[in-house]
Amino acid sequence: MKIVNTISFKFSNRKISTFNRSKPYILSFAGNLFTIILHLMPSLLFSQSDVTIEGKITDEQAEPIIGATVRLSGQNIGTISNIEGYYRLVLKRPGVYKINVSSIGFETKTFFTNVKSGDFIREDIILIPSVSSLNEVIVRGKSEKLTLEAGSLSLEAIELGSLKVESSDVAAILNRTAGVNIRQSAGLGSPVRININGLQGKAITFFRDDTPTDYLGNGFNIALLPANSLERIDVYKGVLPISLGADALGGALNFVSKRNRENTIELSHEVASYQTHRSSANVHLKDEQNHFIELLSFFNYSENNYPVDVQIRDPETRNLRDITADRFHDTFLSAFGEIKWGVRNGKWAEEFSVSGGFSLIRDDIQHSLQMLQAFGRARQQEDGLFGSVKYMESSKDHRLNVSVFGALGRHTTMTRDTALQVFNWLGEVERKQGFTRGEVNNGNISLAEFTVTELAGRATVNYRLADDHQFIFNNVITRKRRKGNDPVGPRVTSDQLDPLTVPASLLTNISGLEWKSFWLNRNLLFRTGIKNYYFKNSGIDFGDVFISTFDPIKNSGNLFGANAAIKYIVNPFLLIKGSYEYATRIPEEDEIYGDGLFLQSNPELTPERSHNLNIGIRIDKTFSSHQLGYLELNAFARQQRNLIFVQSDAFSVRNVNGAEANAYGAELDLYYDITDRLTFNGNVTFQDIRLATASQFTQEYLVGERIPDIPYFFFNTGLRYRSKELWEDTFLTGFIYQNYVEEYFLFFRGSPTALPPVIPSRNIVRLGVTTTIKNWSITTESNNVFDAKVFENYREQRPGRTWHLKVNYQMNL
Amino acid sequence: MNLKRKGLVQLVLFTVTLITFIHCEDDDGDIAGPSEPNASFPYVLMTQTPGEQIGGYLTAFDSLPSGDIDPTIRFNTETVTSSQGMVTYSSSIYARDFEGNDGVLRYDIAEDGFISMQGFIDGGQRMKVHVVSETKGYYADLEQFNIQIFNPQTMERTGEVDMESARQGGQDVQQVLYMISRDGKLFAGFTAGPAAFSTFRDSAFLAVIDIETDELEAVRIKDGASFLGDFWIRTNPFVIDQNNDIYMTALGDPFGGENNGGLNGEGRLSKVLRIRSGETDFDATYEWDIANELGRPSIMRSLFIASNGSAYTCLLTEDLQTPELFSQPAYHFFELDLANQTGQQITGLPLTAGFGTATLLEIDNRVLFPIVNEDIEFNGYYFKDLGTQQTGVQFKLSAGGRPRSFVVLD
Repeated sequence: MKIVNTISFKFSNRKISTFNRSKPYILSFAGNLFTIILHLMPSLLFSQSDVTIEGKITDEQAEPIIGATVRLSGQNIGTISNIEGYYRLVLKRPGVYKINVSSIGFETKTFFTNVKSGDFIREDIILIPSVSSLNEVIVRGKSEKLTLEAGSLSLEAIELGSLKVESSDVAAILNRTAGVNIRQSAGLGSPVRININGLQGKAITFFRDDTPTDYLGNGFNIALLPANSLERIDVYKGVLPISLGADALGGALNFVSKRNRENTIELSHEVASYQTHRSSANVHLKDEQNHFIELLSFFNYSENNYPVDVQIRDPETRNLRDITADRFHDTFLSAFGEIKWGVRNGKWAEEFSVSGGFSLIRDDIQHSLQMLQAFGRARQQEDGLFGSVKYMESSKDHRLNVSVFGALGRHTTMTRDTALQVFNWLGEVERKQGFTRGEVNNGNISLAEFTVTELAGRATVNYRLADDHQFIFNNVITRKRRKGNDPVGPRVTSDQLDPLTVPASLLTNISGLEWKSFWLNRNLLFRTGIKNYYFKNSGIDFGDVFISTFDPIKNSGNLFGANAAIKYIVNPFLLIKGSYEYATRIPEEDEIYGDGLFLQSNPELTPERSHNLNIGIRIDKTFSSHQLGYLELNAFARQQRNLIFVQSDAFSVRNVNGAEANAYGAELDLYYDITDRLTFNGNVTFQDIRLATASQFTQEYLVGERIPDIPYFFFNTGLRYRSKELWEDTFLTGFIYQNYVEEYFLFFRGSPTALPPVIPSRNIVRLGVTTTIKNWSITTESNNVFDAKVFENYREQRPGRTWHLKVNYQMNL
Repeated sequence: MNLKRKGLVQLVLFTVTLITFIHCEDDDGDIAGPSEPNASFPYVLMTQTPGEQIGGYLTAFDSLPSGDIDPTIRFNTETVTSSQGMVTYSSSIYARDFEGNDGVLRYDIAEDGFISMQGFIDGGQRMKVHVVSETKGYYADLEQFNIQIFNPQTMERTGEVDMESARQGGQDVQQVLYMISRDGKLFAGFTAGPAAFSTFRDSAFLAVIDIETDELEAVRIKDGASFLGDFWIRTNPFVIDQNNDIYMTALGDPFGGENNGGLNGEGRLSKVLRIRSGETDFDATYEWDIANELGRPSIMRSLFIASNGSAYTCLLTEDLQTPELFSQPAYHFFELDLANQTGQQITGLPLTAGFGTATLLEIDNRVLFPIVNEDIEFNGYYFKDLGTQQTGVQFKLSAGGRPRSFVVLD
């Protein structure tokens, strides 16, 4: 007999409800994998006399809920739902049972069932979200995080719910993630490089809601985004799902926007050391017809005038001496705003929305790449506008879902570097320029201005052939066109042409098809897909100032890639997974055509490729009704081919193709509820990335050496404590985070540098307290509490200890 | 090294990568040299690291290297931020530092072969150095027109030569390009133009400075030639022959001048000029357009004169544009008779890559030629025996990049 019920309840229960598993499921964190699997296999088998209750637990949008607890009322017997929301409860004897279903962030539901020997009952359950408050956002998010992390891909989903009240930006939060290392060269607004499993720079692709973020401009940047602008961040460390539809070498970030269901206004402002101010305003309003309007905006400003250890020269002897001086020309300002209007669950669209926005940046340039020469005048700015439209609709039976997205962005970057003086680190004019003009680009003043216009389109078709089989087709096309001018820049000798005025373009089209299927009672997930990468670019090689004639250089290519991923749920507490992808990354527009400042063009650049293999195991454990824990171990192996890297010779600095690298690594992630109010999380990463083939025969002696400028060992730890309700709707939260990065080489062995060739190890502690009173929260934080000297990138010095005060206000209308 | 004193002096004179011509003055006889004399590791090699703009390795040998050499694993190898060449004086090396703070570094080589940095003077781009005694040297860079005076012993700037009276009317940018000294006079080629890296006037400019007083004595102008000297410290554009005559190469307008056909155009005004012994002005009877007369598209940038009086240079075989102009092995070495303005290609030497090649030197009656040729996977030095006229491989760099400079210390 098979009984199918769908029951919906509404009542409030904000407690976390879990249960203790029977003994066979109790796993040791340090247990051997094979022992664990063998130990647990019997639990997968059921006798004929057993009664089985199973079903799927979803939210109101039919999204599966993982980790929901299904428990016999008053007894310590139960189970939890898997990553697809399915649960199975096996009972030894027939009878009438009262069953409670609960999940974090949802209201608990109870139902009764009468089962007889050999019955197989299906109960599908829809849970209703509990009324959210500022403090409960984290709870709601946790189930989504678990759902994603339990997928077949190597993925870390970072919920931002509780972190939004901290002063951390997105970059700081990411830096606490296993396998992820964020490297920001100086203060607010300085360049940020993200390293995921050894991949860094352009090898990492950024998305927002599955669409590449380029059209949003540089104002939408992980170091500028406040944490409360997003729902979560998905960190992909290997295979990218077809739905992302972009090229990447094995690493990507997907910023997932908030999906507010209530009318809310969120405001925040932060004041921090060195004249730093950061604000955000997010608004979500909807009417009864499901029309909605959303505002996302944030503002950043800092003078970045923190002290650094530098050298100045004696005016007479011209010898150098060490001093500590405040940075004096590093003011940064950025602003970003986006407004979106649309309708959800309308008659003719599941979702239709249009949006428009702006992004602007003003940035003083303080010093040369290695902080050896101070600048006093050079600056850059960017102004951009963008807009997008989205349409999504599903068939009545929800088997077919179509989503179309289009975006247009236009961003103008200007460089002002016309100083005729040389500044020292005291901000004084040391001397008048002689042979050279300008500060940044040796020998060339610059008033360069170029505009990049980007058109992006994405179409996704999702078709569910059967409950266990799904096909996804995705196509993303982008076209970038760049044109500019520099009235004082270099000219092509023969006809005095400003090379920036010659348009440069890049067209990419990436399409993919994926088959996703479930097997073995949906305990096995298998997905595989193919991707096609097409690109075409055109432009001149304006880095060569000696050319006398030119024709635009055109380049194109068409490549294929493939991926496959598998995940097996051994039991609700043990999951193993593996994935492989033959990936391609098409060089970006600024890699091909330079940045108009430091980097020159190379229109003949070709894509990078890589083989990526990831395996992982995750063990969840429930220690008590309020104590959860998990341990996740992931390992990767990667071969990178046709690498793009910056090569410099006497007359040019440009990207070229060449070397090959092999990378291996592993990361361990641990979470543990020490008590129901005190939690610990930590992770440790080791990665070994070595040169496999040199790009020149003269570099063959470096083969086998660790590739420099990539951290190879780092770990994070964190403790959070949340008080009881001190008085009505008032809570106190304390947190401490620690980040350690082992020292690593900045250059290959023997490379010449005026600097020590090592980035020293760093150990940074961040400490803070948040007071939450109803809709208000106030956070006081100190970053780098022990004032450690921290260096990044080309040994640029980061700020020491900083103080932060942040106020958040959320109003539910 | 059992060479006669005269030969030894010549070796030092002609093996430095910069134009430094060591003018041995016996003043300040009771002042010690910049470092303790070193005879144990006199052979010093500078290479350019692959993939680096100008950085490289510096290592010293106790005997003339031969066979395969790997500077990256030698016990005494140091990295240098500029492999633009070396200037030697006594047992010290003066080289340019590049990363960020451009300037002059002094390296000493101890008896045990270890190389140590002894001082640094902060300066500007494209620094040139010329040491005239143990306590006096000159440097110039492209940030200032005045030639700076320094003490090589203490590595401190001590003053400057006022070059204001050498300014050419209407020219906004003037820089000293190269220096050489003879008979108490410092000869400094300089250029004058409206802007950096722009068209230069069609004349070569030479400042004559009295070393005793550090005063500018005269400015010599040679029309029909341009850009007296070179951008780089590693080339050797000024030399002194056995007759005590100075030969100077005028590079010519490095950008070909307006409508002159670019880098290898005819209007470059690249010439070899001469200043006779005892004179301080150009020899009006001497002017050699060497590249055009030998049928080569390239200008000539460096010179070397061996102990037998023969001069050497390298010239391009075909008209190339950047980046091939610098990276492609397309240069042949030539043997020259400077006085009679004749030359012929040397057989038995492979082609070498362009302006990045190090300067030549003579050791044990062999002239050593730097060869950089990826086609045959060779970085190193070939030799030509001045007696037998045979050529062959002196040593090959199995790692560490391409040779940039090779000198023998006094």
